[in-house]
Amino acid sequence: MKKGKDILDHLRPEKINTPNKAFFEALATKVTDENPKPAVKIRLLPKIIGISFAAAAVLIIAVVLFKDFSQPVAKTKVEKALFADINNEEIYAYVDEHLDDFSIEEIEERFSSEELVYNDIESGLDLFSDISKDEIMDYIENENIDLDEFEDELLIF
Amino acid sequence: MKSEEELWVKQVVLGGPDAENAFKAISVRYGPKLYSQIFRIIQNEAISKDVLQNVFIKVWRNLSSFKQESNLYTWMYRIARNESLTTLASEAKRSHLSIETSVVQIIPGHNGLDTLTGNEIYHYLKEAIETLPEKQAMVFELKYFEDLKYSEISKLIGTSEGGLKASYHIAKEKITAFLKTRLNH
Repeated sequence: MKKGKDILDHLRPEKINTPNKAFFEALATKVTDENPKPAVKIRLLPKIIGISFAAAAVLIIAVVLFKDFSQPVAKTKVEKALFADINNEEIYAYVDEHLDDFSIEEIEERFSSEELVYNDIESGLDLFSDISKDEIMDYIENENIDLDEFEDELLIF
Repeated sequence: MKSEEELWVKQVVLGGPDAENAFKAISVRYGPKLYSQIFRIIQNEAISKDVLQNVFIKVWRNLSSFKQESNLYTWMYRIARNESLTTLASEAKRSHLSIETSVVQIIPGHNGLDTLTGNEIYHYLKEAIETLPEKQAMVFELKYFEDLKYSEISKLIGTSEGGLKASYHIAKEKITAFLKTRLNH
């Protein structure tokens, strides 16, 4: 064994006789002729679905971003029709009975939309005509309401 | 080379007359190297040509799925290797494979090789190559058997010459160790 040479140095790769260029061209032609390539399918349906989703997403984002939620929702014709046969007293009675079901904003909205405006202090006082001052004071005390916060508003007293 | 390859791939994927010309160009460029690679595994001319045809069919049909993360030759090499090994296994089972040509000749002077024929040592060498990771095997084949320069291999498979030298060195060491183990038993 010669020094410094490993096994691979004692092997000589034989030259492989590869076919000529014409062989590879002919083989390529044979392959393409015998295996027609399927036409490139333009997949319209996935594109349409994709575009639809994108459009829907843009629309939703636009609605969410540009809708002014601080404004009261305009009453629809359907809504107006539903309340057409109900007089205000019935509505007030219902609201009074289910007061806890409404937020202050909803009540304010409804009252303003019904053009119910307290124009004078007397109409406001009427609301408390059946409640004694002691009861009111007990309520204030129980609810830990700080009267100083309402110094400009305590007109009823 | 890469941009030319990309154009060919694009043309084949799009179809039409350009596709056939592009595929022909790919076949002429890489066909000889793939044939040699296949022949070294199969060692039979007729079967090697059949295998090459199957490789071309797979390339033609599946080029649209080629993601171009590697060079085209690397992708085709992988197909050719798998196709060759699969064919070799099935042909060996049916005992149809006749070895026609020796791929290596022994240069006298190595004690361990004196009692072996070229085909016997090549059988071990093939086994050793099959144990290598794909890239090392590819680099080893292109350098050892095809005697390509590193610069040529670099263009072919898109790896730096330094990386190729390292791969070849590691591959040689692994193969030598494998052969020594085989020869000592």
